[in-house]
Amino acid sequence: MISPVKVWRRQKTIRDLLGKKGSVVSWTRIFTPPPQFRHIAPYWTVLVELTNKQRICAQLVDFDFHNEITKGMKVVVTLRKLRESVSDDVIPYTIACRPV
Amino acid sequence: MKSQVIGYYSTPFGELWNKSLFDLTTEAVMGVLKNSDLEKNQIDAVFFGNMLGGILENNLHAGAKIADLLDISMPIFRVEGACASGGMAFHLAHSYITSGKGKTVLVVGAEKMTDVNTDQIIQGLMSAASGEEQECGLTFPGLYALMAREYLRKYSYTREHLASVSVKNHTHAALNPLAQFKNQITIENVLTSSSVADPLGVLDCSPVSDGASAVVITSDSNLMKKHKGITILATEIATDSISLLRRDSLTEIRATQEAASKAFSTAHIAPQDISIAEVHDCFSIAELLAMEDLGFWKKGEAGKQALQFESQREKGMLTVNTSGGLKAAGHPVGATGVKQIGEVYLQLTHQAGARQIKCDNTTFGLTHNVGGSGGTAVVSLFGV
Amino acid sequence: MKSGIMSLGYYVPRQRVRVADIAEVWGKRSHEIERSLGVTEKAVATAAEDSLTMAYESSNMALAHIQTKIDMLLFGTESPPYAVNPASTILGELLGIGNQYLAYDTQFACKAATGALISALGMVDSGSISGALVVASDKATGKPHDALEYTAASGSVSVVVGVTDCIYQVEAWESYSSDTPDFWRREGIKYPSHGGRFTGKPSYFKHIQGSVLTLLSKTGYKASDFDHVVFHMPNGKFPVQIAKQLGFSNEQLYHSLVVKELGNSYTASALMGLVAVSDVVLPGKRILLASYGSGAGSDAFVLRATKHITNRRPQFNTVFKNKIYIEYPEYLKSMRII
Repeated sequence: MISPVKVWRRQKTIRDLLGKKGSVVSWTRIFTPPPQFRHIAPYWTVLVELTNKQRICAQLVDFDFHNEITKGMKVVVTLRKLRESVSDDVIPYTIACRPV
Repeated sequence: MKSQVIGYYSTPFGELWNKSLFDLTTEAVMGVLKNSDLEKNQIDAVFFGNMLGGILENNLHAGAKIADLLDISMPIFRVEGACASGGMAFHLAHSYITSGKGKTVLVVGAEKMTDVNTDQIIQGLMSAASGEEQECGLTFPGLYALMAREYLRKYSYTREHLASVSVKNHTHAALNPLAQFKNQITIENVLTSSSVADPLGVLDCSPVSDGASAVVITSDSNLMKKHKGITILATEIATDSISLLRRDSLTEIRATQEAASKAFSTAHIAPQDISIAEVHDCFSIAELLAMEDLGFWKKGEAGKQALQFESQREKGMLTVNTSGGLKAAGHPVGATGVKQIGEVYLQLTHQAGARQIKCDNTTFGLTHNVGGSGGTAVVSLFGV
Repeated sequence: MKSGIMSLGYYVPRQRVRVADIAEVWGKRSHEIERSLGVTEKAVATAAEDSLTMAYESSNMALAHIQTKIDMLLFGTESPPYAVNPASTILGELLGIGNQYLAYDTQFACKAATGALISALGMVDSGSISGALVVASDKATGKPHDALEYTAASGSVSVVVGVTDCIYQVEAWESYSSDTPDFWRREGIKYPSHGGRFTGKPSYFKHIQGSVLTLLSKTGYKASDFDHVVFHMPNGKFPVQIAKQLGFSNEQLYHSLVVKELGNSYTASALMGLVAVSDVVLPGKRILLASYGSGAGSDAFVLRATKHITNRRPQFNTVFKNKIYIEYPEYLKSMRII
C-alpha cells in the first residue's frame, strides 16, 4: 500500500513546483518500467533545469513525439497521475512537464 | 601497515535457479577458506556486501544469518552501498585490519536477483536512487541513458562508441569460465538490441545475475609469507549526491574522481602506472565515464579510444575488465565489487588462465566500484 | 444580482478519437453514426490524466490573471478520483489557496457544476463570501459497444465567481428538478446505464423546457433578446432540436455547438459551450445557458457580457487546432479499459 502520510508530506513540494518553467537538459525514453508505471509505458523522462537553476526530473507529456525533443526545449511543470495505485490506495498525484 | 589479499573464490555468475542467496554466500565463504587454506577460526571478522536482500526477500540481519549457516561467531557486518556494496565491504574490512581490530578478515559479496520478476528488480534497484527519481518512473538504465545522451551530444559521439565497450567486454568474458555470457557480440548486435532506455539497448546494459565472490585479506605476516598475495596499496571511498539532479555534471562522476585521486595519492602512483583495471561498466556509458574519471583517458576522448578497442587485452599498456566487466561476466550487485578485486588478484598472481595479461612485480592493478548513478565510488589499488 | 462570472478557464486534452474508428471496430457504418449523432470526433484524456488533473489545468487558467480570495471551492463531476474523499480540497491544496475556505464535491450527472454555480452566486450575493471557484471536470467513460461510447469525452471548465470586473453579469437563473431515471450508475459498477430513447423527450427536452420557459417568463425576455444560446450537448442533435423548440435560431446556437469535434465532456459540456461563445460575444449582449443533468434537472441562466469580456477572450479556437488522433487501442489504454 502506498503510504497516505508520504503522499500528504509530498503535497507542498508538488504545489511549489507546479507552474514553474524550465528547459530540457537531457531526456530518455523508458521501455522497461517498474511495475507501477507499466500502464503508461513506454514514456519519456526529462531532466529539466528550472529558471531558478533547480533541476527536476519528470515525465514529458502532451508532446507530439513525431517531433524531436531537443536540448533547451522550453517546458512548464503541470500535474499528472503517473504511478499506478492499487484500487484501494491513495492516489499519488505528481508533477510532469509539458512543452510551452 | 601492510595488508594483502591472499585468497579468492567466486561462484559462476548467471541465472542460478538452484541456489538461494545464502547458498551462494556459504559456497563463496567455504570456497575462499579452502582456496586460502584457512580454517574458520583463523578469521577475525566477516564483511558481507549485499544490496537487495531486504527489499526482495525480506532478509536482513545477514550477519546473524551467516553466523547461523556457517556455525561461526566472530563479528559479521552487512554492508550496503547499492552497487558499490562489495567494494565498500572490502574498504571497511581493510579499515578493520588497519585499525588493529583484527588481522585476517573475510569479505564476501553476494546477490540473488532471479527469484523475482524483472520489473520488480527494476523497482528494487531504484531504491539506490532518490525519491523524486523514483516518483517519475525513472529506472537505472534511464538514469544512465540521461548521462549517455548528454555525453554523446557533448562530444559528438554515436551509439557505436558506447557499443564498443560491450563488444570488448564480451570478448574478454569468452575467456572467463565463470562469466554469465561467453558469446562474442558485434557492434551491430548492440545497436539492434531491444530498446531499454534510449539511447541504451539491452546489450548496453549489464544483466540481472546471481552470484557470490569472496576474498580473504590479512595483515598477518606469517600468512602473507605463506601465500602468494597482492598488496593493498590503497582503498578509498567518496560520496556524492544520490540524485542525478544535484550533480555538477552529467558527463562526469565526481565520486569516482575523488576516490581515485585520494587512492593514487595514498599509494604514490598515478593512473598511467596501472596495467590492469576492473571498472564499473553497469552500462556501456559507465565504462567510458570511468576511463575519463579515473584519469586513464582524457575527458571527451573515451568514446574515440573505446571504439579503437585500446583497452582490450594485448592492445596497449592498460587492459580493462578482463573478467568481462559487469556487462559480460554478470552483475550480481553485492558480489561485483569483490569479484573485481578477485580478478585483479588472479591477474597479478598469474592465475588468470586464458585471459592472463603480462604481469611482473612492477605491475599495478585498480578496481573501481560505483553505487547508484554515482552516489558512491570505491577505488582500490593493488601491487605485487 | 451583484455577483457574476469573473473569469473562465478551460482544458481540453489533445487526444482525439474519430467516431469513424470506433464504428469500424463494431462493424457499424461510420457515416450513419456520425449523421445520427452529429459528432465526428471526441477529446479523450491520457492514462496519466483524470478529472482532478484536468481541473488543475482549467482552474490554473481561470485564476491566472485575476486577484481574488477563494472562499469556496466546489467540484462538480461524475468521474471523481475517489468515491469518498473530496477532490475539491486536493485541488485547493495544489492551487495554494490556504485553508480558510469551504469546499465540497457535487454530483448531479452533467449538471453537477451548474448547480454548484448557482450556490456560489448566491453565497457571493449574500456577502457571505467574496469569491468562489466552481469547477466542472469529467473523464467520461462509455461502455464499449454502447451508443455512449461515441460521445463520452474528457474536459474541464473552471468558473471564478465574484463581484469585481466580471466578464458576465448573471441577471437571473432558474432550476427545474424531478426524479427521472434516464441515465445512472450504481456504486461499484464501472459503466453507467441509460434508458435509450427515454433520455430524450421525457428527460433532456422536458427539463430544459422546464427551466428555460420559466426563466423567460419570469424575466420577460424572448428568444430574440439573446445573441447566443448554449445548451448541454450530449450529442450534436439534441441541442439543435431544443433550440428550435424554444424558438432559437441556428445562428444563435452556432458558436456554442462544440460537441461535434470535442464530444460530450459531461459536467463541463454546457460550460465549454459558454467558453467558446466568450470568444465572440459582444459587450452588453445576452447569452442564455441551460444545462441538463440526468436523474434529472436543468439549470438555466441569463448572462450578460460586460465590457471586460473584450480583453479576456479565452481563445478557445486553439483547441480545434492543437490535437492529435489516436487509434481505438490507444483510446482503450487512455481510458484504462485495457
